[in-house]
Amino acid sequence: MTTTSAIDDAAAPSRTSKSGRANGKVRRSAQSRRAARTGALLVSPAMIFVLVFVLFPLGFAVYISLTNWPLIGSYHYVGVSNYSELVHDSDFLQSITFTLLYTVIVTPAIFIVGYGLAALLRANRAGAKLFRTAFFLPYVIGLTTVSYMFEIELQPTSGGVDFLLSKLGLASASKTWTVHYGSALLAVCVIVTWFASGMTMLILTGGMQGISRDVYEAAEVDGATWWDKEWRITLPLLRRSIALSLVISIIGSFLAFNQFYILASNNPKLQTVVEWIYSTAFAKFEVGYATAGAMFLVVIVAAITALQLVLLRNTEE
Amino acid sequence: MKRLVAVVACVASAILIAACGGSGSSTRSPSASVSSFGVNAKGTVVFYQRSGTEAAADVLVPEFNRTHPGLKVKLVITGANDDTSTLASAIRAGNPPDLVGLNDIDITEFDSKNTLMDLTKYIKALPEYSSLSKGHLALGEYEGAQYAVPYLADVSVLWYNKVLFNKADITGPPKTIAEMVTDANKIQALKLAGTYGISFAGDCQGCMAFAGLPDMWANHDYLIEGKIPNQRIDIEGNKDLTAWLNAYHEMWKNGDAPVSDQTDTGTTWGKDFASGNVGIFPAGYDEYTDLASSKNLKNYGVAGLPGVNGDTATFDGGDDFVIPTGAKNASGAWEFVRWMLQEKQQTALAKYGLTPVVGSVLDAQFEKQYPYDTVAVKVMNHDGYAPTTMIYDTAINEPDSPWFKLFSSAVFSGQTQSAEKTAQSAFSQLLVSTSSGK
Repeated sequence: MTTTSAIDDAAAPSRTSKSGRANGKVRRSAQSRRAARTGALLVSPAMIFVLVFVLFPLGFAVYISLTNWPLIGSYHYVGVSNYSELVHDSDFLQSITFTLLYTVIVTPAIFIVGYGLAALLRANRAGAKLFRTAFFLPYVIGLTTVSYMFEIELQPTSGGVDFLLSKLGLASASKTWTVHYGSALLAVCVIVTWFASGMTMLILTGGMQGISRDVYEAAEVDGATWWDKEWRITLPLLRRSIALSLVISIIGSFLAFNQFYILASNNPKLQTVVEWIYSTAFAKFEVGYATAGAMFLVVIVAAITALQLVLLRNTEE
Repeated sequence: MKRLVAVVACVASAILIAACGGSGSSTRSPSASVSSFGVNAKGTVVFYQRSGTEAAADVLVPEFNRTHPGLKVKLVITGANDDTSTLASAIRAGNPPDLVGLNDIDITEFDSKNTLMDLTKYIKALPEYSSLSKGHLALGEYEGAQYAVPYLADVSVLWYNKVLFNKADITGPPKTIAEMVTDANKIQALKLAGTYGISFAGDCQGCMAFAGLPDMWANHDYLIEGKIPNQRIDIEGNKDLTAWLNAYHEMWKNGDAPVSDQTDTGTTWGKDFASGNVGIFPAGYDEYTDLASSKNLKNYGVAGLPGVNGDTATFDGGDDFVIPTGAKNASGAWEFVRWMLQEKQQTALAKYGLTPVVGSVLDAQFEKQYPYDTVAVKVMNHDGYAPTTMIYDTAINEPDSPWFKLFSSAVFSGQTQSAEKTAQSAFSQLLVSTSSGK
């Protein structure tokens, strides 16, 4: 026994001696430090990117918003006077109100159309891929190109929209869509719904295809109708995808610029917040004041996004 | 890990603060003598040219580089709608270009912020100085010094369709606004399918100012009167302006213009005229390139824009050369400017639908080769004008500007009186806010 314990001691001095226990801790500590360093090195390019292109500009923008920074020339610190002026600026408040209205109109439209397309195409039948590509194509082309296309097609007497609608008896051949508030807003909402529903369709299709077929089969055994399956199975299980598509859609609506600038820039009632910011910064050269408006928008968008994520979180978690 | 974050943050901040640092030299007046400035310069010249008037530069810059070894001009085309913000951002970043072909209507804004070099002595020493377009020169003047020299002209004129005029028994282009209305009515009365008396871009405020304001200027009525900083607005009750707005309203009501003119943002401006369907077309001289390519150029004529009560005028549009303070190769930039103002290069502008700014190019050969541009040069030399004001962009060019509201309310809705009252107030407010430095 003594020999065995002596042999044991000789074989594993680290397990019995004080220095042996300390060596074990050193090995683990050195390993975990190496792992931490490796992790930091791998993450540092992304961190630098975020610091340089997101956090620093955000901080600098806050600073600019506290000055009377012009596009050309010198500036000085003005404190919060830009912000106090904003809340009394009727043009800015009108742009906020309009942007909210536009978001409320266009978000459900995009979701409903996108969901409908996803429901139609979720099964991989023949032709489904082709249709999915076709419906996603406007998104690929880009909203600026789409807006310019429709600037031509919405022209009275010569555009395709009036031609088609007049043949169907739905509008006159010389309707001026972009001159009046109601028709301009309708035209833009239809165009944006057509443009953006493809992306919603794609997100929801991915979510739908992730739902196991067994769940539906079990429901069918219990006598569930198509509507029961959609309402009680698909929608709840699609919560995360719905949240993602709504967040993207609402943020996109709050940042709307291209379509209104190209199609309806001369109608003041159709000015979005981003148009107001652009015009204030680059037409009136008041970059400090415009940046205050931009900060306002950042806060609003962040608050609405947080609210959505809270409301749409998976309550079982 | 925390230390790493802190180090990265500090390094990134330092780099960015350095990058956003102030400009280099901010000398407004170069010290070089007239005889040495712009002579045998070397190096690179970064030249900002705005899109829309770049056709000649695309050809002439390589030609300059080929003939000037040791000095290379690097052409940078800036967006048509953001050329001023691109330049302003470059100046703010402390990295201005060496030379800019700046829209002449924007020069005053940059002058007033001390961002351009004083070129007075060099401009006055140019051999072409006495022949330079006076209107373009005036736009480059600020507080007694000259900060810009004319580069190319993009003037407004009255195009007319000779075939339609013959059919309507109209002997020549209209000489007054009232005649323009009569002629448009006569052409419309021909009732030719798809044919109209006049065409204009009713949703393009810049276009309507460019092609319409000279009708008032011909009568020395400028709407924005006086010199900076003591300008005043003369819109409400302005007889010439009222007559002009009413003339356009009458033509609109009579159906002399296509319905699509109300929504034409300028994207398709002139396409209907170039297809032979419109009798009268107040627009830019650069319409020439579309007409020349239509192979029916002989069917079209050009004249000065008719004044409300006669005489003619034109908008001295186009670009002036400016050198920002802090330019690294101002001498090289000036050498290029001197070359561009020579007769050969100025004559070459005519090939691209642009108008020379050096009046001495008008000789028998130029008149024979470019008869249409000859009219434009003569009108520019005689009646060219453009307003020197700080509020041009905000009052006129920008979306939903007071000028746009004035034009559309008066012309499409017939509310001339109330539109003038609103515009008077809006224009005046812009003058006040600009002069208060906000």
